[in-house]
Amino acid sequence: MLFSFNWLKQYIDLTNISAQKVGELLTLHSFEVESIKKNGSDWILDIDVLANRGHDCRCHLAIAMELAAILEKKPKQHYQNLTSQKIALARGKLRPINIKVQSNKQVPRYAALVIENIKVAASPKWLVGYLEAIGGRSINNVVDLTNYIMCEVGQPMHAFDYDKILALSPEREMIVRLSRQGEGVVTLDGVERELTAGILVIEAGKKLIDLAGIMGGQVSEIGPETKNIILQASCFDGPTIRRATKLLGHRTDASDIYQHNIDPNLADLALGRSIHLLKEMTGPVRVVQKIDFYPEKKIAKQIKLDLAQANSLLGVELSRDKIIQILQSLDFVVQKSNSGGKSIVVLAPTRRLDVVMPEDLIEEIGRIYGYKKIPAKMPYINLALPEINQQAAYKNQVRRSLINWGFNETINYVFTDKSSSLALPLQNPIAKDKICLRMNLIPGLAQNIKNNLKYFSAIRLFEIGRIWCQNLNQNKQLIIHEKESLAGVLLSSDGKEPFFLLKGFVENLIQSFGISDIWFDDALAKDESAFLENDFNVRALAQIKIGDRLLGYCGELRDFAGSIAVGFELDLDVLTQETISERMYEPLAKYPSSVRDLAILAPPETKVGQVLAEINESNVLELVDVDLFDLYQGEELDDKKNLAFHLIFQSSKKTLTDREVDIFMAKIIKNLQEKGWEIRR
Amino acid sequence: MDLSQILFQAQKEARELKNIQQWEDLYRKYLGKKGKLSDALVALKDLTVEERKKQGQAINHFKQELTQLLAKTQDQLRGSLKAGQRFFDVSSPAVKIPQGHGHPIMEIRRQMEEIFGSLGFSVIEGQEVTSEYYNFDALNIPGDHPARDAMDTFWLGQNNQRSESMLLRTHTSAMQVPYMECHQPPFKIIIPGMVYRYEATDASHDYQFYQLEGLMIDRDISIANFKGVIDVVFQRIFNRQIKTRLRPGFFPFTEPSFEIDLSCVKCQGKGCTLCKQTGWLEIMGAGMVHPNVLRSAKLDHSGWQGFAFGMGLGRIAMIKWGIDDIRLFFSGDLRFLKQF
Ligand SMILES: [Zn+2]
Repeated sequence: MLFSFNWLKQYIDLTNISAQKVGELLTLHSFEVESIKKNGSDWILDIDVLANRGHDCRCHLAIAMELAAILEKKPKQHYQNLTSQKIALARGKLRPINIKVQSNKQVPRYAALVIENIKVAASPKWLVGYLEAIGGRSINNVVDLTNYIMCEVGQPMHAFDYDKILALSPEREMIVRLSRQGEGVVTLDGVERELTAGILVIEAGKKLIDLAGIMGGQVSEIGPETKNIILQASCFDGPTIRRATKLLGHRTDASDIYQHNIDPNLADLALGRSIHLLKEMTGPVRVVQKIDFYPEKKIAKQIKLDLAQANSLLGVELSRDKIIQILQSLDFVVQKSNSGGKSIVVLAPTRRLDVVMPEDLIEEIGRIYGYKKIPAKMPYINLALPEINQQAAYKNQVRRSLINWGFNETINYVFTDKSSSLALPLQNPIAKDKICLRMNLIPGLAQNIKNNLKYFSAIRLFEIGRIWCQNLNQNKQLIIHEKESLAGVLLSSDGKEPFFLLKGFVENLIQSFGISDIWFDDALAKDESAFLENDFNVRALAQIKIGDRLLGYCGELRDFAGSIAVGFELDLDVLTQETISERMYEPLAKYPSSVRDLAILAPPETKVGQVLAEINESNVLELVDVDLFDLYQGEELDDKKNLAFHLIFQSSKKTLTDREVDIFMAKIIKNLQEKGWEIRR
Repeated sequence: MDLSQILFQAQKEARELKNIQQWEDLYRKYLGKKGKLSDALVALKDLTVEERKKQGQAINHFKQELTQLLAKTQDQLRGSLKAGQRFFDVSSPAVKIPQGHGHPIMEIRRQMEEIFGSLGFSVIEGQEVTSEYYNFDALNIPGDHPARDAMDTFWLGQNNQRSESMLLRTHTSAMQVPYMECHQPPFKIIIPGMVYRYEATDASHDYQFYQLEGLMIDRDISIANFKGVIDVVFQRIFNRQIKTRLRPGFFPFTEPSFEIDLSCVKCQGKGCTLCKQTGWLEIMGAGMVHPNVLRSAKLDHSGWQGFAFGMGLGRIAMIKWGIDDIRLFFSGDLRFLKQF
């Protein structure tokens, strides 16, 4: 919001203080000044008034008051001084306006003056100058006056042509109410607006004449022919105005102020000030009627402030006098204190709608005193160990391992174009292809590979992130499940089967969590997840299992012309639950081991896993390890598979003799032969 | 200077070499800093343009011949030294070991966890999908509050089949009350995680971004303490003396509230394009926890007080590494990711 430096100087002495210095002070104590630009002999400050001061600081007088408090100066002119003149009522010829406020919840106060015989003319130079300096436009003296008062004291105003209202409603009745669906009004900017229900409007003789708090209607506009006016300074409910601007898709400087709620007492100041300025501009002014609908007068709020609490929250030692001085400089009234001077009772001016509790006062004290002057101090607290966050620690472990193995961490957007009954849909998606929350990480990573193919032929990526799904519970309510997932993808260009490289990474990763009973099972089409079908080549897809528990999937990805990409996705919650963090030392073997080789000829569909399982189930306790060292399939073997293993035997009690190992081998061979596999010698 | 004469001389000397020491002397004499080649090059400057062109070509040829000669004689000497051994070239390229990289935002998160962890802060992670209540109402942001406009929200569909409206959290502050509901003060926590806002994207805005929330509640925690804590944190993160400043701000869930600026890391406060000539970088919002928030969590607000803050880790990464477009973080572009 734009402010004129010269305008501010009307209320406070700023000689020897530059606009830049003022900007810096406001930034540090009140509101950020975003820019300071030269404008002739003036400077224009763009001030970002905070949302909680939108009701009282979107005007020059309030900013000047802030500066007065910061600089510890008395303002030149005080709020009270501005309204020193009482508004005198004169006898006139005009018959009184009847105001009917039908929705008094939305209108805390409706105040207006009926003024007779006004001279509508061009505005004086000074007025045009100020308005133009802050980006406004001069229309005529009456309209300019209402805008000037708004930018001066923060009360939006509006002037109606009395005679135009009289023409609409011979009973001179103005009704303030909420709009009905389908009503219309042509506003001052010439736009015909069709209204939905619930917008605050003013009606005269069945015709809408005003969008209250936003913009006046053309039908009662002030023009050169205007003689008598109704000058309005009202208070409308902030949320109602804000909703209306949203419904209309139209906001104005007035609605920007009104939407924050304003102090209903401000109307007196604004009306008094306008009469004073009107007189200055046009000579004697005849006010013939005062309209004031004000059912519940707003009074100053009393707040008790514990001085020790203030210092404790700020972390300083401010004296009672200093605290009182700061509060008074902001127009707060400090009443007699009780409880032996440990606390004070403060009356906040009614325009400070934002100040309702002690912490609000403490903020005022802190910012005017200056956050800069509060020293940085480490807290004195009891030493305590932070809680262990196992999940976060495991994620960091996964991250470290994968990065060490050449994987690059990526983070993808969580939105997807894939919808299903299980997916969580968005009510307001940001784009047509972002309608649901992702149910898996793999699709995003597969897309990453495609995007990177232009620059890289070997790609390793992983992501740790949230995935979602939903289902109905017994009470037919949708329950949301949010899970932490881990996925990785790999694309290699060296021509080797990448599935087994990835399988190696997955095994290593899971084993690093102390889990040993992992195995890879065929993933069957019946596996419910639709994503398997969409994203994986079901031909080469495995379930990763810990015992009977499904941990995730690992397999070839679809759709990569030329090279094979593979990927895995794991449920990190399951991994965390299955992790064995306590490990015991196993004594080193005292006796040497013996190694024997074993080659088996088996039908082509035989799985290595099956053979390994049979070897291990031969009931030989001394068999401590089995390694596959050769796998060959060829025509000369009638398409059979040749599998060669190293078998390692060891006893914890003694050195095994050749004879003993022969017996073990015979036992194993017998078992395998019973399965119909041929042993090659 | 007759270069072919010199070359002839060099060939002669090369034949008489006995060991690698002599070879090194020879190398110095011809190809060293003050060698014959260097002399020839220096002499060039006294020639006319035409002559220089011609002589330049001759020097090039001379250099090639000399280099070949020396390389050959070196190999011969080496070979005789290691007679019977396999020729071994240590200068051949290494086996390529794939090098992985962490995501820059996760790198900042890790550092934050480390720094705050050493100050005794616990790391908490919450749900990204949460209720309207925890994201707004519990934080003193009721339904008609203007602050809701500033945080445009992604609402989840099918709300008629749920007991309450659900959304993607617009800030990590949404975790404050759920945490406080099941923990007794004193506590100090950080909450890193993804947040979402329905807004148009550009180089400095994205509809998904990574935040880090902090919350410290105890008996006597002050603004002075907040300053103490964040000063050391930023000094560690940026690895240098950093100044911070507080200026008034507004958040419904803190009172007092402030914005925190960092002295510009690029120009040290003198003014540059990064800090838009102000010398300061806006880094985060913070404040003293609002009594209504403590009330939402059913904590006795007269006994406990403390600070809360929230910062965008993407913003910190951008400042730290000079990244100029926030959308790169979630692009999955390896040319970007491999730099961290
Ligand atoms: Zn800078």
